[in-house]
Amino acid sequence: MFLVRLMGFGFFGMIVCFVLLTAGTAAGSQAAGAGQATIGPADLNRLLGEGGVTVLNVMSRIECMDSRIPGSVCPSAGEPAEQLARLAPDRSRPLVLYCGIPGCPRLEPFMEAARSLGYTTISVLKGGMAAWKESGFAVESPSRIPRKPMPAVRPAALKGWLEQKRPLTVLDIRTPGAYEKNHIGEAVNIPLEALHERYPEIPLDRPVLVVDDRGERSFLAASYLRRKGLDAWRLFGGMRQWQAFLEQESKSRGRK
Amino acid sequence: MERLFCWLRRHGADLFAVVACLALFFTAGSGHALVSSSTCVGCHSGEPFQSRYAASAHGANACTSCHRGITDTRRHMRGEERPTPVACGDCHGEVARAFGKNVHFLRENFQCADCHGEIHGLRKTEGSVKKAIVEDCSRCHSRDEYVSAGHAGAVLKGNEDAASCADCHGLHDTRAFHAAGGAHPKEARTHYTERCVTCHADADLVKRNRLRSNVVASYEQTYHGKVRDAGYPSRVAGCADCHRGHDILPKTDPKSGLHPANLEKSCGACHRGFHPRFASYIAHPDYHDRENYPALYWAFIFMEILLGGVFIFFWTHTALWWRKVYWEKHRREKEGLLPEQCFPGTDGHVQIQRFRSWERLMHVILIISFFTLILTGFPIKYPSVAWSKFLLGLWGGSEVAGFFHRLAAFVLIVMVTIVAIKGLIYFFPKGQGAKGLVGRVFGPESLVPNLKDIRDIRDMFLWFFNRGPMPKFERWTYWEKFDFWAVFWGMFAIGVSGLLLWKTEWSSWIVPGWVLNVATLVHSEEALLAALFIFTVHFFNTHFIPTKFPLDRLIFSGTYTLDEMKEQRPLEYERVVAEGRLDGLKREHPGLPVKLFAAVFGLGSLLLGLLLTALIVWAMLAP
Repeated sequence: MFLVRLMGFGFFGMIVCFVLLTAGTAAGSQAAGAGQATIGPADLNRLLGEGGVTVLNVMSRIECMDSRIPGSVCPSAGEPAEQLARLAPDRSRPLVLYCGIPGCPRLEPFMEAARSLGYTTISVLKGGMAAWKESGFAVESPSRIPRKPMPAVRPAALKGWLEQKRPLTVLDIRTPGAYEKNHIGEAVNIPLEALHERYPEIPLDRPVLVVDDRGERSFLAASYLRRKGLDAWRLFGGMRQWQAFLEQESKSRGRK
Repeated sequence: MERLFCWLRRHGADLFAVVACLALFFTAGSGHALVSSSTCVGCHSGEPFQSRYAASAHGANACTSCHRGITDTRRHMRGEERPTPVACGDCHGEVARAFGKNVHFLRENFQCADCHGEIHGLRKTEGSVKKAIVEDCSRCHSRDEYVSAGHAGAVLKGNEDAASCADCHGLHDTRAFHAAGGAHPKEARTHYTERCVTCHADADLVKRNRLRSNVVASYEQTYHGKVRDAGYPSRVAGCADCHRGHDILPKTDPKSGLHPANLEKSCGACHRGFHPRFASYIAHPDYHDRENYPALYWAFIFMEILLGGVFIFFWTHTALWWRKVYWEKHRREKEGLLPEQCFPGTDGHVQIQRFRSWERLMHVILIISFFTLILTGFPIKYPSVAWSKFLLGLWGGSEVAGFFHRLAAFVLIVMVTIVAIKGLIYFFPKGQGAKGLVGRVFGPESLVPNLKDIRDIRDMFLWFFNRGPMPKFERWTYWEKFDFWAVFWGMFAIGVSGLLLWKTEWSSWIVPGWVLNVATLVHSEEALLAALFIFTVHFFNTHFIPTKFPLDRLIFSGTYTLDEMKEQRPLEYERVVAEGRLDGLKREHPGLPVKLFAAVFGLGSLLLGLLLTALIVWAMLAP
């Protein structure tokens, strides 16, 4: 019997070792969410029907005027706190914020401003505009920008242009923070949120290449600028693609 | 002035139409078809509203078919009444529904005209639609990579079989998952592999274009293909992971993902820490191709012969044995010789120990480990059969099943190691030197096959055909010896291949990648051999034979009666008596808990085994 017990312990010990080893190599825990209240498209639609809710688009004015949830309001350039005070003066009214792109850069600043201003109920549309549209709800376009077909400029081509010193304005439409961190050569920064006010600053005598974060917002921005008479292009895949291209290049150079 | 002009136009040639419309207005009360097309072009004159529109695809429609909501032209002309936005989906319903999920709509808010251009002059595409699609998409999307690939070249040359943008990405239903490794890996891999398969598994299309015929079938033979088939495509490589998305090129092209210089990188997209020779893994193996894959071919032939030989022999053996015993039982029943039982007062019912505690415990652990291995492994072996997804779902997915498969394998390896060590200790008795070894190897308690086993097989077959008595057995019969050594051979084949496949990247530091193909084949076929052998041969020989049906609890209780010993192992009995050890082997009658455990666990295992046999047969017969 002693032998049986000994073997039993042996087995148990080895299985425990196995489990520990395997579990150790498995992925760790996921990062905790920011803990914001969310609302689904169907619920938002119901609230809009009932009235008594402020729905605020936190994208740029250009994007919002191009397409937005009917009954929602568009922001303009400026600080979130100042915008909120103007667009949603009644702080006891439920406030719903929504955006159109994943990892929206303006959602968090607006959330923080709304919290510090003391809005009673703040929630965020889950899945943003895409989820709203996928649920089959309509959008309205108070001032639609006709899309201009244009091939995106690949990072390799842009590098060539920069090396040839072609006359070109590289327009970075990301947030000033992101621009400060890294930007392409002599790129100028006009955040997309302010582009409708500041586009006259862009020189008319040369093409302009619009650079965004991931290539998701530059198409509309470039279409907007083309409509304003500029020879606008966009960078394929935005800064992420540019960074990836540079990394790839330095790697292959290292190999050589 | 313009108003006057329009008014005159209205009262000119189309006066009749206006009257008709007014009549309609008064009879129907309201409606949007109040304004005729000629009224509209009165002001909206010039192209494209004149002849270009008339010649366009929509030319048969009136202006108000699309531009609705104008009830009063005067208010409209003053800018007080605007038409409602054009809803193309009212006629093109299906397209509109598909477009509702289109990434261009969801993320960029594209409308019909953004791709279709000036609707009023839109004509039906003449010539190749595929070519037109490529032209249209590449107005925005760079087609550098695509154009260099075989698909585009063929499309532009006019091959209507070749894939245009829409064949892979959808036309109006382009979804958000363009990036395979991106935010939607599962959907992307599922979708794109499905798209490739649609054409490359189409025998006619493949033949017409002189493509390799079995690319899909051979991919489905691999772990990648099987796990994808079982419903977990995000965990394994789909077509695009190696062949890439747009720059699909033959492997002779230096830019191809399959070019020897790029293979390491292609594999490295998912695998980490492998030796460069890992890339010699065959992603599309063909077991029947002797010329290109000789190792695979011969491994396949060997496994087929092994399985065929083992099953032909043992199924015949079992069937004949069963026939003999059943007929014999029938005869004895008829002659009133049954039931056999011990006479009271004799010691025929005394329990004799055959298995020790640790042996019984190991068998129970072996059963659990064996079933775990089969229940986690076979859903991957037969991924397309319905029960595969069900079983993997019960485990909680392919990854969890994989974990338990490895855990059970680990337990099995530990047990085989213990048995091997114990076997060695047994073979080398202390202080007896070489003489001890010879005695143990050829002795009566040995599991090593000897000449008597050959004679026993012959005699057994003679007995099956009523040509002689049943042979007298020592402690281990030849089929028990086969069971024992089969596990050792099986552990060598399935264990070594399994260890190689455990962490394929590390294995590549020991063996080249193509050995993993052989390992996959051996592991899979050996698993089939082991499962079917246990469920159809071992079960029948040991438990379902009419004298023991439905369960021989000997392995759980460890003891059987003296009568049973005399009948089943007469030579062992005689030897034990001669050695004067019989009294030392006598044991108490097994307790109720042991009997109940044997009944529940033993019968449960037998039933599960039979169910699994049915599932395996189902999978083999399924198309």
